[in-house]
Amino acid sequence: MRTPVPSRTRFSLRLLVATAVAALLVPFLALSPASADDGVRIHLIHGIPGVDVDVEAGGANVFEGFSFGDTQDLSALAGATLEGVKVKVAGTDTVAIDGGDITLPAEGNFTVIAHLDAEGTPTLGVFENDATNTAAGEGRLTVRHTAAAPAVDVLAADAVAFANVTNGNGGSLDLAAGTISASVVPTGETEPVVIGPADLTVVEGEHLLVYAVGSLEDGTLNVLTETITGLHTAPAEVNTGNSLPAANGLNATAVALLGALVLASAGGVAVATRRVRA
Amino acid sequence: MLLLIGAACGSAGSNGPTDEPAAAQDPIQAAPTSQNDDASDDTGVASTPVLPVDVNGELDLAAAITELPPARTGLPYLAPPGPQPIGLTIGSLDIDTAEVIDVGVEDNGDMEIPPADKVGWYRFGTSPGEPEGSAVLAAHIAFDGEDGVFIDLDDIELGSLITVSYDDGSTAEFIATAKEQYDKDELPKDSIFARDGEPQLVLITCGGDFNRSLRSYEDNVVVFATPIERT
Repeated sequence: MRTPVPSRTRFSLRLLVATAVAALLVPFLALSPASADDGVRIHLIHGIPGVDVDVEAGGANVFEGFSFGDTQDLSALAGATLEGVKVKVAGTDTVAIDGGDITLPAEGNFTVIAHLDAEGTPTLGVFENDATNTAAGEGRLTVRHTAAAPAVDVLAADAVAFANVTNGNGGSLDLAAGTISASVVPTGETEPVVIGPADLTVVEGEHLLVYAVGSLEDGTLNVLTETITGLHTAPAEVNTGNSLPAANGLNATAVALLGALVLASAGGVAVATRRVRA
Repeated sequence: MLLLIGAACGSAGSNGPTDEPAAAQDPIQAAPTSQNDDASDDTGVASTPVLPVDVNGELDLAAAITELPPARTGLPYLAPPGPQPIGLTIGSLDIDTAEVIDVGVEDNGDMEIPPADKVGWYRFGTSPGEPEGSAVLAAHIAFDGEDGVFIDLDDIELGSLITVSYDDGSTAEFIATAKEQYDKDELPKDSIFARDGEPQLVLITCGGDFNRSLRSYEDNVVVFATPIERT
C-alpha cells in the first residue's frame, strides 16, 4: 500500500481475509434468476450484513424483517412514485435510511441495493443493468463496489480488469463464457488480496452481477451475486458441409475422376466408331 | 482495503471495461428517472403494467411487491455442468453411437462443427433431454470429401427413434417429429437455439444446392425430435 496502514486497518484486513475465506465456504443458495424477457425489471437487494430492516412507504411497512441478501421484485411498481420511503431497523422506528419520495424507473433493468457507503453509512444505490444481448459464446460480468471500503482494483488472470473502483461505482465486461479467477486488491497494489482469488463462472448469455458489500473495518466484507438470464444470441450460421458426399460420386475428386472416365470412354467410342466406319 | 469482488476479464472479451454509471449516488432521492421523459407524470406509462391499486385507489404496495429467492452470498460463483451427451444413435440411418463432442462458436460467430466423423452438441444451449429448451446437435453432410455423420439425415423418416447417451451412463430417447429444409439465411435460429420452452432435440446438417465456388450448401436440413424417455 502506498500509505502506512494503521494498526486498526491491519486488524480489519485480517478479519477481511477471514471473511473472504468464510465466503468461499458458503454453499450456493438456489436462485431463480430474473428473466430478461420482461420490458422492465427492478430488483431490490439488501446488501448490508447483520442488520435486519423494515421498509416503510406511504406511512406503513411494506415488508418487514428484510435481511442481508433478501431480494424483492419491484417490477410491478415501475414508473410509480413511492412516498416517504424509510428503511428502519427491524421492529423499531429507528430510521437507517430516509429515502424520501422515490420514483421508480418506468422501464429498463435496474437493481436497487441498500448498502454502505465508503464511510459506512447506509444508503440506497440505484444501478442500471445492461440487459442487451451478448454475442454468441459470451457472457457479461459486472462488479460493483457497494462496501464501506476504499478504492480497489479488480484483477483477473493477474491483470487489472477494473481499476480504481470506488464505492457506488463498478465496471462491466463481456467475456468468453467460462470460469475465471478473480481477486480484489487496493487500487494500485497487488496485495493484500482482500477478496479472492475466487473462481467465477461467466455463463454464456447470462449477465452475472457481483456486489462487494459490508464493511472492511468491521470485518463484514462479503459478496452478493445476481444474474440476468436470456441474453444469449444464436450462432450466425450452421455450416455443416464443404463438399458433396463421396457416396454420390460427386465430390471434387470423384467428379474429376468421373469426368476423365467419361472423356476417355467417349473418346474410345469415337475411335471405335471411326474404326468401324473405316 | 478493499473490496469488490471479483472478476474479470479475460481473454476473449468483446467490450472493454466500461465505467458503469452508478446512477444514484445520492442515496435515495436520486431515484433514476433520468432516462424517461415521462417518468414523472402520474398517468402511468403505456409500456408498463398497470399499477396495482387498492379499494381506495391507493397504490397497493403489498400486492405489487414479490419476494424473490435471496441473492447468492459469497464466492466462488460456479455454474455446475449438466450431463454431457457423448453418443448419438439413429438406427434407421445406420448411425450407431456416433461420437458427440461439445462445441461452441467460431470466431466469426458461426456454430463450431466437429470433424466429419463426429457430432457437435452446442454446449451453450440445452443438453438433450433436459426439461426445458432446445438442444442442438449438428454434423457435417460431407467435409473435404469425407462423408459426414449426417450424410443421410435428409432421408430420415418421421417417427424414427433417436437415442442420446450421456457421460453418466444415462440415455434419452426422442422421436423425430418433423423435418424442414431452410435457406441458411432463414434458419429459425431463435427457436432452434432457445434455452426455454418445450423441450426438443434438433439435428442440423446441410442440404440443398451445393455452391462449388464457395464450397458451401445453400440450405440447412433440420430434424425436430420430441423427448419420449429418459433413463
